[in-house]
Amino acid sequence: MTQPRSTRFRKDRQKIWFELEASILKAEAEGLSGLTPDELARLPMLYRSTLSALNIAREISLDVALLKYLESLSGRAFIMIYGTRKTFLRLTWEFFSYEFPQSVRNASPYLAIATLITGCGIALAMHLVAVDPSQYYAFVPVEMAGGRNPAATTESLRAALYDDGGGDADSLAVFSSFLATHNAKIGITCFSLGVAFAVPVIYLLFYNGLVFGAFVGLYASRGLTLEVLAWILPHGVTELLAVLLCGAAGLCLGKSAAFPGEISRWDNVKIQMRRVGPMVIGAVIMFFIAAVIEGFFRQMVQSIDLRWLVASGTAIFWLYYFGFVGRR
Amino acid sequence: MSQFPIRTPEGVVLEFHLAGIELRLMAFVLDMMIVFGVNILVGVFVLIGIFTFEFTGWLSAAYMAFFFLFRLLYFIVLEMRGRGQTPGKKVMGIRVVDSHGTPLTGSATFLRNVSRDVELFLPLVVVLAPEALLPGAPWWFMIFPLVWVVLLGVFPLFSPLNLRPGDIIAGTVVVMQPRLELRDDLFKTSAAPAFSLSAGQLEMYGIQELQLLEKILRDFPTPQTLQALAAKIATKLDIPEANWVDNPESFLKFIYAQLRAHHEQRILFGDRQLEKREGHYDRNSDA
Repeated sequence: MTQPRSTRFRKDRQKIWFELEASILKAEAEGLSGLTPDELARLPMLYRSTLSALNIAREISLDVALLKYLESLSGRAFIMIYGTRKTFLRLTWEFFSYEFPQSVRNASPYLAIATLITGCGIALAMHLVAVDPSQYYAFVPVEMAGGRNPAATTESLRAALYDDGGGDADSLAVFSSFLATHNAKIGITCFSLGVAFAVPVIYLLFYNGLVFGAFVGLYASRGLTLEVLAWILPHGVTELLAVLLCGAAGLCLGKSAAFPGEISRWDNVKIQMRRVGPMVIGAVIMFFIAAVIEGFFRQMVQSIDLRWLVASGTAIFWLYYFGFVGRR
Repeated sequence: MSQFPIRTPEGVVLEFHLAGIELRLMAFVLDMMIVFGVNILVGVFVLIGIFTFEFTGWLSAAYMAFFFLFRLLYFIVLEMRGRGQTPGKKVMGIRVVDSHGTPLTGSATFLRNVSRDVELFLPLVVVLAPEALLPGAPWWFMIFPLVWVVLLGVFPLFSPLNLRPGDIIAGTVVVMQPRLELRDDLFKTSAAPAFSLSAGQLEMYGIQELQLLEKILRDFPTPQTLQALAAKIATKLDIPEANWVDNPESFLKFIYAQLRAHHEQRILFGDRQLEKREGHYDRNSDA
């Protein structure tokens, strides 16, 4: 009786498959470091032989059990060999030294547009508040203002800038970790709403600009411009930048959803999400940094000079980081 | 269970099976149980610290940060360490892979896990505290994000391949862990031939029927099924009853082995007969 070819094929090759299977099971249980140097050295050879056996079996074998086994074994070996090989620390380092700044550079046109939208909001609100201070209420919700409103005297407005938060370092710590989670959520919202053709993103950016502008405008009308900037900018540089990054990511997604070009809308959004993803992750981390500066530094340091130093320091740092780090 | 092809860097396309929503949800629930367990445990120590040493502010701040960071890092670090498997996923036998067949990157892992926060918790925020999302907007403006967020929540039910947004953003998919089991070659266990079959008889059936026969022999070998199947095949191939009636199973295994040997010979020459021929085998017309 004729023996099917696939039976002979299987007999000849299965020793290699079983060896690969044993190595894979061992490595899955104990990690690649659980393999002996000899086993480790043979792994790529075993994997390639099995893949090639799969290719042959697809052509010559009608034995479903054999095909399924080779498919599964190749899949498991594939994950073992091409899964994450790098450690968490290594990946973190690569992210900060290359992926993040590079993705920001790639999205620089969108960053410029996001900045423009926010800038328009700031300018509009500053102008309106300068003309009529009661417009302030239109932009800043009462609960956010915390007594800093047009009805307050110049003196009390000034005092708020040097307020130590009304408490000790303990309450500042709680406040800053609350802010960090809050801001991070706003940023991710901005990004995830981007797919809706960027309309919500434009709104959020513009609104953010309005609040900022109204706030600065109020102080400006009392001649406290420099002092309010010294109060906001130490953490504001980082925080505004992070909002702008999220906004740029949202705009980029919105644009790709609205004008997909030659590929399908869906595919285009997927591609863009991969490209702007690192930027959003980085922005979330920046929100944390900003919150730490805001919660601890701002209310503990009262010196104007020191505040300007930190503000310009962070600005220079981010400029350098996004401009030059990780260029290849 | 839908298939998901991934092309390896060697250029071989491997078929993975996508993990269903239920499995993924179960894995997530398991993981969250671990996360909450640890959080509660740490919380107890924090409370002890607060009441014994009066570290109130610093300790509760640290705990808030811990609550947020531990959940994130749990998923990210373990998913990377476990090659796409958190403990929950390991129990459920599923794992995350890159949909393009490249290694799972750190940012992909980060994105798909951070995004889950938005998918799960954003709908809650919108429903409970709409002001937190878009401060200062007129009330009707809430309709847009509300619709959007609800869409985000039910997204996996309707998206292609039931992917959730996080997987799409990160370019990953969750697949079933392929099962490693090489079942015996049915040919080995087939009996010695009692009679021979002509090429004309063997070509009455195609590859589909051959593989269906394999499935029945392996997974549903009840006497009734085998009896009925043997009768049907014998009629179609015009085989005398005496040849199969004593032992339908060994008859079917013999037929299987003959069919496989014959068709495997033919596909070497590029001749793949997928389907059976209509009607019965006719001894007289077979030259």
